Amino acid sequence: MEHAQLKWIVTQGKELVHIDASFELLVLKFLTNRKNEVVTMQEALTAQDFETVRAVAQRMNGAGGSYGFDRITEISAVVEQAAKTCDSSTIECHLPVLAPISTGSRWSTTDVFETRGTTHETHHPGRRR
Amino acid sequence: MKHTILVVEDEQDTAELLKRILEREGFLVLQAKDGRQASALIGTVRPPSLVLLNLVVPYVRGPEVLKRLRHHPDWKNIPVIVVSADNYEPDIQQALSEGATAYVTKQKGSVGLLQAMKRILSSTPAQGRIAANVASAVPGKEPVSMRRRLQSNQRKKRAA
Repeated sequence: MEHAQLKWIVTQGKELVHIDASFELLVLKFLTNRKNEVVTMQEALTAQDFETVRAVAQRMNGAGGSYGFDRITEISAVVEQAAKTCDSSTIECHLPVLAPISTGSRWSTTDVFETRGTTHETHHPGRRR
Repeated sequence: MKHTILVVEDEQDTAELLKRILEREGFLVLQAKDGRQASALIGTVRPPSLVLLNLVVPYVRGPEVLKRLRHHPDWKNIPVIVVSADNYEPDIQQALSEGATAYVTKQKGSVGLLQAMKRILSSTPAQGRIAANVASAVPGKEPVSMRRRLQSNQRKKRAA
């Protein structure tokens, strides 16, 4: 798959995502919103509110796919399915994996692909290529 | 004349991303954040060249929006691309059987979506551009809107 807004790069054992400069603010907003959604799902899980977990995971699934963050899509799909069957242990296992993808990020300006733009080092554990 | 694209998407980040990508490609973008807004647009605004439809939208679900669109005389031939995170084959087949022109999963990426759009727009005489084509084909005549053409055709059929 190919996205206009970003390109994935694997270099020296690190996984980087290069964000097109004109999409930088949108992607930052996207990641902030996903971070908030992880918190929402954690709170909903504590309250055993599986419908909220399912709805938020479904939204995250679609958004992750659109933005090219496949790992977010994969994990949120697992969480969505688990929420349908009220499987709290699976949700508990996967939410901590989602959290660092949305929050544990480091940004630096680079010219890997273009003279303008931002490269973002991700913490995608075992992202499939 | 630019193509107008109606984007029916409730997830705000995705809607903003699609708008940015489409505008960068030279499209005019019309947005509806739920099925109710999309339904209200059908028949009240000039039909777009193409509709990008998320099936899971609030108030009026995507399949119902698709049905209303296919039953409206001015909108029934507008190509509709269903854009969904769901890649379950029966759901894809159902959307296509209910009138979707194409089904593109969100995981396909924006480049894949743009390719599908351009392929469909190049093979379909989009309504947003018909007026210009008619005008250029008949010098000196005013552009004829699709609505007027359909009404004229209906009158001819009734007369016959």
